[in-house]
Amino acid sequence: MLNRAWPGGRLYKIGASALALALLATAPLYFSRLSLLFFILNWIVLAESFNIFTGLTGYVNFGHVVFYGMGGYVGALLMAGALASPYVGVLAAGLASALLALGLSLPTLRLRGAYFAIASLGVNEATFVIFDNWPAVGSATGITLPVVYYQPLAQYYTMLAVAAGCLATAYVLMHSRIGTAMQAIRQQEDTARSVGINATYYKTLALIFSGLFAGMAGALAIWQVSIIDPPSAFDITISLNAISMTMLGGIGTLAGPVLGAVVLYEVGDFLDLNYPYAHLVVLGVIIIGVVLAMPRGMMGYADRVRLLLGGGGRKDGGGA
Amino acid sequence: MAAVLEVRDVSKKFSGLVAVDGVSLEAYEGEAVGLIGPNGAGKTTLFNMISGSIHPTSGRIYYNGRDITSLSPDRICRLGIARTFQIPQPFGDMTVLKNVETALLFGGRASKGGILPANAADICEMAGLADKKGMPARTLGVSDKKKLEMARAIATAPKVILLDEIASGLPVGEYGWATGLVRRLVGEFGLTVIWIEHVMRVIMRTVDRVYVLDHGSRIAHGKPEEVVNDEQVRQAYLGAKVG
Repeated sequence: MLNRAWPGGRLYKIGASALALALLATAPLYFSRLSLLFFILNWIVLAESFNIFTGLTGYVNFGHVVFYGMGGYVGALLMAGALASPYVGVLAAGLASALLALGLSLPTLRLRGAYFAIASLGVNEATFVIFDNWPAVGSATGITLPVVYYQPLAQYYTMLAVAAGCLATAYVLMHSRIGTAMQAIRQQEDTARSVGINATYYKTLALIFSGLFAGMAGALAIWQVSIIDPPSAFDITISLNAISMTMLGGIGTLAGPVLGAVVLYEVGDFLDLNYPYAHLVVLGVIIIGVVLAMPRGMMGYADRVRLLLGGGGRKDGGGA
Repeated sequence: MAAVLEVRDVSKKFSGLVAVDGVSLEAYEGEAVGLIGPNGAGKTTLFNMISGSIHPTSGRIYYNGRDITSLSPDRICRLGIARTFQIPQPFGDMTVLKNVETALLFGGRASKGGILPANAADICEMAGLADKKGMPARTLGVSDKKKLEMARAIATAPKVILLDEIASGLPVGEYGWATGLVRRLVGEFGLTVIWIEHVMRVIMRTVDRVYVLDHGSRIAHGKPEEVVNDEQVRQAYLGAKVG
């Protein structure tokens, strides 16, 4: 639906995706800073999984990091207790967060719009307090992994696989019947219900997928950094970063969160190094400027340029 | 003959305010029923209860004998009751065609069968939107948005269709579109139409029977020509006679 007036577009996109995947898969052969790529991929998954729920349904989830932190803890417990291999740990973390998403959706998705956003903030705060006071998960000290889990190559490839899986899932959701239902819900929920769309079901489904991938990203992060504690696991700036990345790149689009994550992670890193005391202020100003100048993000801007050049733009609004 | 839709003694209270007070009505297959009354009479609230977006405080609603009182709006739509919104609520960023396609996709058309068109372009044409198919819904004018409400409702392949002021706000020249389409839905496709309308000359010459609500209560019922001469109805609209 996107490139009716631009027939080369789809082929070009498949080619670009394949090339990116090939470059990333062979990166360990020629690129020494694998941890940099690892964290970029980690942020891509965080932003895209945020986008799967918020970008598609329009419900803003300020508590996205809850899934990340929960996944981190499940992964950490399994690995630190030597109960499972890291791969199983990552998978279990994803499933645990998906289950959490299902549990949270029952009370919170009855709320509309801003009320849901407020509730999601509350969930974040509550989860933090529970983990901070729960001896079984190390209370405020958290959990530290033994050194045997230093496996940079395995970590990197698992991260890459999860990122690819997350993007593929987002693509399928956006281009299927499910995606149409979610678009309808985002644009006009009452009307969506009135034409037979079970809005609660689709919102829950989106939150489950959102939780699944954020949970896996959380477990991967703990596998990489070896230590988890409540303030780092449930840090709200992680949610805010995922939101900023998604907004910057283009909310509701597939490539938007990817672009946003790459750019913002790099810019943030640069500012952090050069302006250690003021980097959050500078970053904030940049984000405000970008949102004012490009309300639909980089993807929206790209569409405008394409329209100016006489090609086809996004006509149906979102979904790619 | 059993009623397709039966509203039995339904009330709705909003924290003390009685919006609908013990209203009953029936609608039969292949008829057009009018629902009229002054502003605030409870007409739209009644529609909201039939379509499941709010639930009655008391009373039951039956569709083909089945109790649908507490079902969700999407279930009720898939069972065969469609509605339009008084203030048009399209999927704004989708094209007209995509709006209709979405309703076709989720309204349960495939399992319901029936003789209504099953193709989005045909439905657009039927609703008078043939040349607007590619436009984003938010860019439509009021008339076309009303037509899209109608097209979307038709696309769900309903047996009963609830029209909420589909003619109000249209230019006078477009009234014929509304009456023509309602007659076609009833006559050609055998649907049951319940129609809330303020434009009397449009609704009174189209429907078979009329229910009149005032302050949440049903104050009159009958053929259009009987109802317009009813003293209580005249009072509700014009006030009591002086002297």
